[in-house]
Amino acid sequence: MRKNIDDTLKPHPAVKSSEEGSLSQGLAARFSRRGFLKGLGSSVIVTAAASTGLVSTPKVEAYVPPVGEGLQTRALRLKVNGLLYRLEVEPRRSLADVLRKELGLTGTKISCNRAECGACTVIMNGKTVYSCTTLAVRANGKEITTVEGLAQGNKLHPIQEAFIESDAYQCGFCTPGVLVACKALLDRNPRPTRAEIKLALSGNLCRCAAYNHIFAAVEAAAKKL
Amino acid sequence: MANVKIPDSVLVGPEGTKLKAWGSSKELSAVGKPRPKIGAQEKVTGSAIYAYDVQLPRMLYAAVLSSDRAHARIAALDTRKAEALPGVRAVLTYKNIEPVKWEQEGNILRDTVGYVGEPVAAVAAETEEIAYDAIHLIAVKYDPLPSVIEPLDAMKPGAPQLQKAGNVWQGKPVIYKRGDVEKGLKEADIVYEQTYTTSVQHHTTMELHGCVVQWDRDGLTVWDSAQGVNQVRDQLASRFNLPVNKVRVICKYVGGGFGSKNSAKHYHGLAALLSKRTGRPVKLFNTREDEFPVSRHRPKTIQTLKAGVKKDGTLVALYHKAIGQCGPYLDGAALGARATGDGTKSLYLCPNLMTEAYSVHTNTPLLAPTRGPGDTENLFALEQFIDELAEKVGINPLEFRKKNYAEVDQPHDNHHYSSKGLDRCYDMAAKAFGWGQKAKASAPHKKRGIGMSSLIWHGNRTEKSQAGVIIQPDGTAEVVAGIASLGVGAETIFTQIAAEELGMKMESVGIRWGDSSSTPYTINTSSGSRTTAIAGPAVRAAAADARHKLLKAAARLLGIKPTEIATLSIKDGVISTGDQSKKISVAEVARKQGRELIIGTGHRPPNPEDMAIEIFGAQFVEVEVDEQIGEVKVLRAVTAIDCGRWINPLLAESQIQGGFIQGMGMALSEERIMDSRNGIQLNANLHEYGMPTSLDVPDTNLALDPEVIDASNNINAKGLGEPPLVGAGAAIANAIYNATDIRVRDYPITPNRIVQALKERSSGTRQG
Repeated sequence: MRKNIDDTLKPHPAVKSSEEGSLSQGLAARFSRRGFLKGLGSSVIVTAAASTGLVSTPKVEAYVPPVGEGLQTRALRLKVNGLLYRLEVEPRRSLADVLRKELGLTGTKISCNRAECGACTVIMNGKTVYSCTTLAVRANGKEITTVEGLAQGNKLHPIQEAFIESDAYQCGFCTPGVLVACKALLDRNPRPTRAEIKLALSGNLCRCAAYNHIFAAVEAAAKKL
Repeated sequence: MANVKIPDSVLVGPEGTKLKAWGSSKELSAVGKPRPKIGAQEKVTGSAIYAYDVQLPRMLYAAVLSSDRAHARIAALDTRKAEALPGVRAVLTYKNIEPVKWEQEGNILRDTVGYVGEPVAAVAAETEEIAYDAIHLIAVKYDPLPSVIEPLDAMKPGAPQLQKAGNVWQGKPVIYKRGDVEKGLKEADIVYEQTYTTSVQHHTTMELHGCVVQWDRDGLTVWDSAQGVNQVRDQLASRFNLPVNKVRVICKYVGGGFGSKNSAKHYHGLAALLSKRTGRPVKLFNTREDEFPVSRHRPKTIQTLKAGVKKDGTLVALYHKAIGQCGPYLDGAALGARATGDGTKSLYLCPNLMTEAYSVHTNTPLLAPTRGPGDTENLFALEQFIDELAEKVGINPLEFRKKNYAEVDQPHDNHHYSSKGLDRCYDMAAKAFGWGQKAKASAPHKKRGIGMSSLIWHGNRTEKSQAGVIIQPDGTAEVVAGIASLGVGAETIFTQIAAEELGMKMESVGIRWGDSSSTPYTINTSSGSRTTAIAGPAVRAAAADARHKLLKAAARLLGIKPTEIATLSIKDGVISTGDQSKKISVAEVARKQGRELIIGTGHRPPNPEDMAIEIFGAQFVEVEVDEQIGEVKVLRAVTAIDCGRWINPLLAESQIQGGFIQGMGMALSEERIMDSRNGIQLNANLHEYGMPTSLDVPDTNLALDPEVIDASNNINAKGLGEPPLVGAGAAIANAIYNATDIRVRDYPITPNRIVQALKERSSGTRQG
């Protein structure tokens, strides 16, 4: 479906009406989803603690960027890969952004930043979501699994093993999201058909187009599960 | 292909020795074997670090304001609000930027813009959010300048002139001639002409374009997403007038390149200048929206082909005119004039031939090489045209191609090829595909069809390359190579090549790469499907040097005269005499060497001068066309590629499958939709741009190895990255014709175009 160009060319809310007509704002302003989410606050990070029992829990301490004046933050509790984190973030920040910048979980990638490519796919309370368009505050109190949470220590999940053996990736940038989507599929359907695999991965773009090997890897992993 | 003579000149070994010519891959232990990639665990666990993942202490985030005008002078630029925003550390515009000549047009930021998406200002701020907030606060007033968007408009008299030489790049077309086309056309029984168009294809790499830069007194360090560490380093050193040893480019993994991540681009320069100004590391990555213009693209083309054919199918004359669209500047413009490439000039025997290629300046974003640049646009048109010619003379398309098979390289002094396995590709792919058999469609309104295409990709010219192989004190080997890893697996096959030459197990051979300051100059950038064929031979030469030094050390330890080291060989990491009377492990030799490491270095011997090098292949597809909604489904694809030796068949299969799917995207759905009044792209996002998804992929996507041993270098490989995309489009278009009797000559062949063509046919306004 094509976007209505007239809608996208409306001046950005940041443009004051007095400036319209005389001064134009750049494309970044017109098309940005950040612009849409703007004006809600700036970022702070505190520490994370507590655990759900796996191994000993490291304290996660992130670099604290300065806060813009007059911007607000919200408290947030996230359970990510079995660890409980307490943070404070600007309400406009996405879950993907917080996972990457504040928790250092850079396995989750941001590529389109608007729910089109699936590189940011994580499992939230058992369901896959695009973390780039999930506000971090919406994940408050939820359980999140990222690609870093698939292996148990050094033991890889069968889908990870299968990806290696089948060469089911090339550049690897979409791979974390694809793997998480595959894991979610196998969790709910341990014996997926080829058509079910394709459908489950239809929200994850792979520009290297490793799709045939990805399908083979899911089937190989299903046999081992 | 069993008895290929490999010239001695490419088998030069250390100290006057000669390398062994490798036979069939079946006889080898590491080369020719399927191996998962090095770095696999990092990539499946999320621990692989891309430039996009780099977070440095005190790092600032940068954002870029891009032009929303196709051609304009900046009349007023107000950055005061942006500068006043808390957390903003620097704002760069043409007004305050130091003079850094970036391209022929001058400074990196200027007071004019020539296309929508051209950088106008850059901001560095404490957080990404603040940086984008600041961008929104910059106000620009533009005075419009006359612009032209469509290449045909730009060629008309009175069009705004974008370059001194006119809107045709260099003021004239690029022309190639042999024989006499007019005479050939007169001699022909049938003369046929058609016009085809191809669309802009975007790289749409999953990792956005960008970098992290730290510029301080010690120099410039760049964590980059680039196709090569050395090219970016050289260009940044040159543009910023820095000594090469003060510039370091680090890039282990790249999240997709496809030609777009060659060279130092605007974002490198802006990030560097922001870092210099603030004294802090700066991270600058495009947004996805900016990515479409900034990462550049494949040109759209308008191509006319005219041929003369004898009744028996002999091609006697071929004329090919191509018009490609380029940006307003000279940077990248040459790529607009490459659609009359090796396909037209080399693929078929034809005595009378002329090509004429125009690259036309317009106010659109600049071009970058895009997987298979030139030859792809060329073959998408040519190989449909060849099918049309075959039909005109009533010959099966495959037979027509075989009838006009060229044994020598006509545009290059009729040199023989270092190898040409195209005939084998035709035969093995046709057999595996079941050429000639068409399955029954799944519904009455659906039609099935089959089609094929040849493919060609220009082989590699002679280039210098150097690599190293270190035998560590524990007896493991480490290849050192100055490359970045695009994910195709060059680093993996280098370890296979080294293991083969060293007589060591794959597991004992590692590799270090991806850092310009700790690796040799192995390649400037991985483009043109060159890395294996350019760097692979240097790796083998380096391994041979290390092996030679190992054997000399072993000879000393075993009490063998230095003149007799030729009697020693290495297998599975054990050095022994021919009669096995004396033996010592590599590990033992290395241990005795201690800190006096054995370091092998090697360089690539030049290509043999009397050989032409081209990569060939054949692609066959079956499609099903839904005539009600115009949807095309590719059901099966079979690709055979003669790229010389397949060093790693598992990775070769990945390349071929992925390349075919990218070609399928260009053939069926990928298209830049641009408003030709103002140069604004209307589908600059992944959803509307239309790259293939998992649902579009054929379950059968077969990759076949014709087992060709190439004679042009010591590893017998020619290159595989680009070829699998090149023939995909015409094969699909030909299959669509076979299914529907409709020839769609404008790519991408979208449902709209099919439905339109069917409508025209039923109303009698269209023939064929």
